[in-house]
Amino acid sequence: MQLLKNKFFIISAVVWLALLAFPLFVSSPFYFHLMILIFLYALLAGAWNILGGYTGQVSLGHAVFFGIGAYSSTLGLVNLGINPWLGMLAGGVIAVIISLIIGYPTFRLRGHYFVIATIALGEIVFVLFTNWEWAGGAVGKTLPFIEPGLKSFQFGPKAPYYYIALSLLTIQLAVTYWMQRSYLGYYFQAIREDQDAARSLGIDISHYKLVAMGFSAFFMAIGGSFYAQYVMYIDPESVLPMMLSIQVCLIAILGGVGTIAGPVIGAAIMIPLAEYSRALLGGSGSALDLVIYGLLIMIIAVAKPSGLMGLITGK
Amino acid sequence: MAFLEISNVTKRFGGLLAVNDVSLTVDENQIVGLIGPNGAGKSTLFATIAGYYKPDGGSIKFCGDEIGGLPPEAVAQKGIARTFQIVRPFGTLSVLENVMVGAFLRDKNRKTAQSWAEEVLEFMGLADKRNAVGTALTIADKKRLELARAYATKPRFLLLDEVMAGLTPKEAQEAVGLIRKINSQGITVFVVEHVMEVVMPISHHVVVLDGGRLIASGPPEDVAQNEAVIKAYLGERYYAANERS
Repeated sequence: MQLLKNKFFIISAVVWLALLAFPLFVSSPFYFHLMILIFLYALLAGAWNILGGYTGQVSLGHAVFFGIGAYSSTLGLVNLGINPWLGMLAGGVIAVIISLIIGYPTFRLRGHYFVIATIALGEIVFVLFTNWEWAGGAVGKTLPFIEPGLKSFQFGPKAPYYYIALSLLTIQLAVTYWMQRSYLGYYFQAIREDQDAARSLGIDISHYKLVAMGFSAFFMAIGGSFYAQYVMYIDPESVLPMMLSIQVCLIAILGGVGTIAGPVIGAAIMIPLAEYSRALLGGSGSALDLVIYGLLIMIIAVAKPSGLMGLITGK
Repeated sequence: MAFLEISNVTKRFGGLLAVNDVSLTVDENQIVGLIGPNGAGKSTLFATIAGYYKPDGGSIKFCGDEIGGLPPEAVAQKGIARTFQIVRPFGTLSVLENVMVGAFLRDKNRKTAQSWAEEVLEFMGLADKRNAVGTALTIADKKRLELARAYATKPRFLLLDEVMAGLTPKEAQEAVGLIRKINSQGITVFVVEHVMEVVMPISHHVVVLDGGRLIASGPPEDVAQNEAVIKAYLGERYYAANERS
């Protein structure tokens, strides 16, 4: 056990250092883009994993929080002239508040009914933003070009985005690691395994579900703001689609729910798969990645329900 | 002030009166047995005390505080722990982690909670299985784990729902030893059972439910000789058990 843990730390450290050095050896924008997407999706799947994986509350409406993050920093910058870094933090806070408002009534629902409620919420928010003119409506918002630099969160080359995405992911992983080792991680897993037994041990399950939801929503929103700054254009179709909610859920499941490394492994496999199939097959193959997703999920569900992490830990 | 005072508690499910106007008190540091045939309302009364059902009438006072209608987590925080008739370990967590979940109720620090959980495992005789996964245990060890998890919350009052059910006679005797050991730590124990042979010898006090009503209450030897109790349903079984021993 201890040996496995040490090994895990050493491997993580080596991978992390290699990732730090990556821009020194690679200059192709495609690979940069690929790595940035992997970091972003690992961050999102990791955020989903806190609520869906550890706490067992499967949400298929998490794009809502991603969208809130994207819209907060963008509207802050475009409509109000607020620095995007501040907008990003504000987006995180707004997402937490919204998540608590959403969570309070929906956490009374158990199992499938909770999932259905989150799908409905995702659709409602999508429609709201599509019709909200101040937020750009269905047309969306384009971010203005301003003086590039760390302060404005805009850069010409991709390397700075790469390092920012890597940093955000690192922070999210560190928080998850801390959470998993603290009583919160134990409480979340107890709630996932048996809600009634958890209550008998004095765990206020509604309260701790909201805590998990808050963490989860915060990091989704951070990812959303990053995406907006990276792509420089957002609309409901790109930051609030149901497909995004499903994707983050699938990545976590593929990698292994309720584990720290699972979402990272899932993203490292899924994202290149999607990008390559798109690049190789062009427009006609654009849905092929989804077909492969589907197949992979089926194989995982049947052969290794604990995800790819299960192959490593042997669970 | 009574340790636990149940006054005129009623619980109905639709037209069915599961618990009908039951009043009883439990004194501190005792082992109290709650017995009765199937469908007598034992588990309902038990679940009502633990906060899983809201009573439809009456009051439940624990050390003077009204706890009737409080949610289970609030009841647990007040110092009342329970086990489940059908064991419910947290399946993916190890034995130690299961017990740590209980330990975190009184201590949110991981290190000290873990050392308390390890102490509990030692006390319960589960120390050598600390790394086993909850679902991989035998039924007897799962019951032990339920006890350990509840004990880890440092309760003053422990509610045990049919901990003997499904155990072999030898395992049941070990469980009895464990209950006595827990009681000797100053924890009041409330045992719901229908296996008379186990309840009678360990209980200081026995209460009998039948058809949702309290029909007898007193020291085990008195209850065992209570005409109503024997005639109603318990007779043969207990006599048979007595003759055997």
